[in-house]
Formats: sequence, structure tokens, C-alpha cells
Amino acid sequence: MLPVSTNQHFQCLSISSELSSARQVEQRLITELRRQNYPDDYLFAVRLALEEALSNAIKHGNRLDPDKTVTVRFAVEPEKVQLIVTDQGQGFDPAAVPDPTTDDHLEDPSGRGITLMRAYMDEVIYNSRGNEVRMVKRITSPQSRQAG
Amino acid sequence: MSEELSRLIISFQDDVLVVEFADRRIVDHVAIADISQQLTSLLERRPGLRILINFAGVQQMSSSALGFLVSFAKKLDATGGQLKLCNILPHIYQAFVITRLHRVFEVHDSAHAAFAAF
Repeated sequence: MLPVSTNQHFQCLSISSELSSARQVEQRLITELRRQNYPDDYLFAVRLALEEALSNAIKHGNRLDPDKTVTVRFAVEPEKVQLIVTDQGQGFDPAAVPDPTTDDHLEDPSGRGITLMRAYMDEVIYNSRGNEVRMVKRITSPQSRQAG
Repeated sequence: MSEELSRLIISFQDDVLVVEFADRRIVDHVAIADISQQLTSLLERRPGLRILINFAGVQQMSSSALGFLVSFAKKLDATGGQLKLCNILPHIYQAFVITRLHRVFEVHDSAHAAFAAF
């Protein structure tokens, strides 16, 4: 895991296309969330969304190609968490992924990752190429921050 | 009597195969493939099993884990078996609701309630 850069808001990490590398990024984000006293339900939601995004980037984006990397940028701010995951694959059209909650796809063996990301995060936006996803999770109130 | 496999703890109680997880997080694709292989192998040896998957202790699950459950349930159903789930933490159960899988699986609050429903 290589630190690419750090600015006032975003930490930027570049990882190899291995699922084990994803765990290191997740741990780093969780450590930062805990340091800033984000509640456990936020930790669960953000971790799940990051896991799904990294899994998609590594498996479907970079297709586990060891010569390709995944870049993760994240910013943990007082009012929100921002995540940006970029792979070096060809990209995809998220609108073309079937809705797994419809009766026709309810028992599909895969295809639930984006649905979970959208449910747990406040914003999930793909770039036009489909190889980068930006996600935002806001803290709703100071009270909810103290709840954790 | 129980058999502890690398990622699963398997036991029989009243002819029900009880599956528990050694890990708190079921997210890794390799781990999920391993779990799937172990359970599929069990099913091939003993088709038509009544199986209770007890999620006690499990803190995190990924979409891949949900997908594995769907696939395994189909395989079990094809052999005439029955599957029930129990002890799913509320924040994980929420993922079942979001994906509407709570309509697919029979989920009980406790192992006791699940046993009573077989």
C-alpha cells in the first residue's frame, strides 16, 4: 500500500489489485473514523460501502491484474465522510446492472454490492467512464455523533 | 459432537446440522469460496439435510456473502433440504431487508426458535 499524497482533506492511497490489500485500506479508514468518534453504525455503513467498492474495483474493474492498481481517496470531516475509489479497468455502466431486489433477480448469486452502497451512503456517483465511484456519508446531527 | 473446520464450526443437534462461523467478518471472497466449498461438500455427502446457520458473533457481511447464501439455499432446496437462519445482528439483518432477502430466507431471532420451527 503506497501513500500517494495527503492534503488538508483527502488521504490518498494506491493499492495492488489484491483483496488482501483492501483490508489495509479499510483498517486505515476505520482507525480515522474511530479517532474522530464516529458512531458504530457509521463505521459499519462506511466500511461496508468501501468493501463493496474495493471488491468491484479489484475483481470487476482491474480483473485481479497484478499490473493494475486501485486508488482510494478518503476524507473524514466533522460533518461527513467522503470516499473515492478509482480502478484502471475499462469501466462499466452502473445503470445496466439489474436491480437485485426485483422478483426476476431476487435470487441471483451476485449483483447486490451497488444496491448496498446506495442504501448505506448518502451519495454514490460514478464517473462517465464507470471506473471511479465517489461516495458521501453525512452525519445527521451532533447528537448522533455522540451516540457512538 | 462438533467438527471445527477452518472457517466453520459444524455440529448436529436433533438431526439438524448447525453451522457457525469462526470469523466475525464474512466479507473476503477467498473465505466465502472456502465456506461455500465446505458446505457444498457436506451437502453432496448428505443431501436433504436440515440446516441451521447460526450467525452469532458475525459482525459484518458483504454482498458476496449474501450471494453465497442464495446459491447455497438453492442447492439445498434442490436436494429436498431445509435452511433456516438465526442470530443475525440488526445491522446485518438490515442488509437482508435492503436486498429483500428477508423474503427469501426464514430468519429466527434465536437458535431455540429456529429449532422449534423445523
